[in-house]
Amino acid sequence: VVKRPAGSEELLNEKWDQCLSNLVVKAALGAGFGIVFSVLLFKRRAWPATFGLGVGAGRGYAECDREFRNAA
Amino acid sequence: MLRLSLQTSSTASAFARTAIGSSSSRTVLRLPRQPLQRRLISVSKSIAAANDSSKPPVLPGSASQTQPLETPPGKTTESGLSPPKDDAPPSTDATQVPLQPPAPNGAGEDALPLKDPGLDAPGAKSPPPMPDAHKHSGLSHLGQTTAPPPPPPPHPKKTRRFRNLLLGLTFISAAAFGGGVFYSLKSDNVHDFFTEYIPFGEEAVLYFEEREFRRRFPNALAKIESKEPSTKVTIPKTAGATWRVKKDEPEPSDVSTTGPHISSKKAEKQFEERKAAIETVVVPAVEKKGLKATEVAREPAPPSKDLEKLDRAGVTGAPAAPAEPAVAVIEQPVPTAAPSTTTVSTLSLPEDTDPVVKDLVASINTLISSVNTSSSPEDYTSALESAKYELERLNREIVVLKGVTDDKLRERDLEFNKAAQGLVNDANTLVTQLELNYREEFEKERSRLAAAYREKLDTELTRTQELADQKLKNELLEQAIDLKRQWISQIQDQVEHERSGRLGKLAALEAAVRDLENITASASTIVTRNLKTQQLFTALEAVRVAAESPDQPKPFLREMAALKEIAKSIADEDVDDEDVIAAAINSINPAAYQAGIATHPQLVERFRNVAREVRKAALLPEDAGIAAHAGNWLLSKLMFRKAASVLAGGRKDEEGEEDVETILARTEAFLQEGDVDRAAREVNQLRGWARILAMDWLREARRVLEVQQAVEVIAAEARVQSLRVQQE
Repeated sequence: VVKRPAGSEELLNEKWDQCLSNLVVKAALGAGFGIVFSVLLFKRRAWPATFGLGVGAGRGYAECDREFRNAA
Repeated sequence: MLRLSLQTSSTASAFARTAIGSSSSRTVLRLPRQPLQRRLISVSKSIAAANDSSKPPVLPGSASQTQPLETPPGKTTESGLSPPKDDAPPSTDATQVPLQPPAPNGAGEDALPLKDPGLDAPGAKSPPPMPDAHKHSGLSHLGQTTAPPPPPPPHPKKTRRFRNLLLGLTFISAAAFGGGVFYSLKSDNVHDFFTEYIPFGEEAVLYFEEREFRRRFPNALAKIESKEPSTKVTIPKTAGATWRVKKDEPEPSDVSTTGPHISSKKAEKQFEERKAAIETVVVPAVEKKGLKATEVAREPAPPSKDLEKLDRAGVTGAPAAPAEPAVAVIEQPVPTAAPSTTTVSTLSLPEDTDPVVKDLVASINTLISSVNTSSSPEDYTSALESAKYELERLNREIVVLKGVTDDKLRERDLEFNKAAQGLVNDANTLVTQLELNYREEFEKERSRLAAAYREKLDTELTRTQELADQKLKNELLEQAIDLKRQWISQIQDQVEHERSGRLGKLAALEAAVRDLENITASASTIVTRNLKTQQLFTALEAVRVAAESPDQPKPFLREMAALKEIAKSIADEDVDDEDVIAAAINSINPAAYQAGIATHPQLVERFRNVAREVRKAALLPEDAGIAAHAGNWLLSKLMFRKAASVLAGGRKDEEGEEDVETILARTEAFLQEGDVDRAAREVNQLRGWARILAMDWLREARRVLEVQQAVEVIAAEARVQSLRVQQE
């Protein structure tokens, strides 16, 4: 079965998919880095992990925003 | 070893002294007291330890700061760190640095401004004096007053700034000028700039350049200056126009002189003849003169003179002869006139006497007569007789001379005659010769001319002959041609006359055949057109079927190609049709027939999807970020949907609502009716994100519409064609 190329109406859905997955990935990465740093440098405190998570999420959010804006 | 160590320690102490002396004087301000103090203490300790023979040698600085210090009591005096500290009391403990010498005024320690007053150190005396010691080394000679007054405020100096400024500027500009001149000699650009913009720059540079030039070529200027203008043009004074009139032409040659233009005799002979003529004229003149002289003088001497003159003259010409008879005639009456008396007889001479002598005789006769008539002629008879005798003698001599000369003359005459004759003969022969020559040449010329004319005549004749022949020939040819033509035309007439009937029939046949041709042609065109129309219809049907077949997307490329082929074949006959069909075919997007188009139900289905998606982006502005999108998605869940049936009936909304929901509802309605066109138009009104989402569907709808339109147009065209064919 040959998949038909998705029309323009699927654009939003695709974008959302990309965005959310991107966001999740980046947030996880950030959190991971945070955890690593907290273990290594900051005496296993909590705040680097949350900080990393926040950074990751922010990155993902920004990218998503840019994508949505550029597509318009 | 200990000695060595001592030596080393002494050198070490010297070294330490100098080092510390130099370093501490520098660093006294910066470093805090304690470290320096500590250092000094350690150094002193080490030195003391070194000087202490009982202890093993320890390098300075190697002793620990926290270990108990071993200081020999009485060795610190040797470790005076600076020369003036010789007054340090020996009772200092190890922590103390040798004290400063007592100030001359006793208050030196307070006066120095470099003191750091607030520093506490073990031993109240030591820190202040410590640095002061060094200072005292330099300032000990100064007068240490308790409060040396601050240096007096500098009295206002005479500021020479303006003068300095001017001087400096002058120097700098002079230097710049010199530098500019120097560089302008080196570089062309600088030279140009310098000479153009700087006043006096050009002069300075030129001066230097000339100096350089003269140095290099000292002789050149001499050569240049001493060069004289060699191109001066000198005009002589007398040249040009003057007021003097040009001299007249030299006088024309004298025509009277002897020359070939007078006579053909040679010039010398002419000259001699002329001379003779002149002298004969001269001689009578001379004789006449002589006669006059004798008449005046009446003496015998003059006749001798005459004779001499005659000799000198030399030649008596022929004209002497004819004069004689005339004189003789004249003389004759004279002698007869003198009467002879007793006194004296007149003289009478023979007839061949010279005329001059005759005159003399006559005069003497008259004299005699007069004497005779006078009273006493006897007185004069002797004289007269002598005179007569002399005269006779003279006469005789003259006659002789005359004869001689006459002979001579005759001889000469003969000679000359002969010569003349010879010349004349020569001339005659020459003349005859010339005449002959001329005659010959004349004859020759004549003959030649005659020959030439004859030739010409011959050529003329021949030419005219030829021309005449040619003309004749031409005329003959023309006649022949005419005759032939006449003959041919006659034959034709004859033949046609013979065949008149058949030719006419042939013509009729030909006409009939042509008509038949036309009919068949038209029939064939009709037939072909019919065929083509049929083909067009079939192709069109094929395209329609392919386009609307339910299993889309089905590309109907071949059908379109067939349609195009048929259109081209139609174009061979009618250009207008081809244009229409071609235009219709071209209006279809190639992607349509390459990929196939959607059927109506498919469109509707797709639209439903599109509508759902569009609702998710219904409220978004142009540049919406993620937050807006998220908000929209949420809200779209809460929004109402307009039913399509509300707007069914195709009522066009005049108010221009552009609400997304309305548009979607309307489009749905149109689609349900089957009006794709209006549905597409409605969707076209979407803006922003909604439009982007619906773009594909719009494109698809447009393709469908295009194909439908093209198919309808071609169908109409085919119908028109069939009608046309039927008409014909």
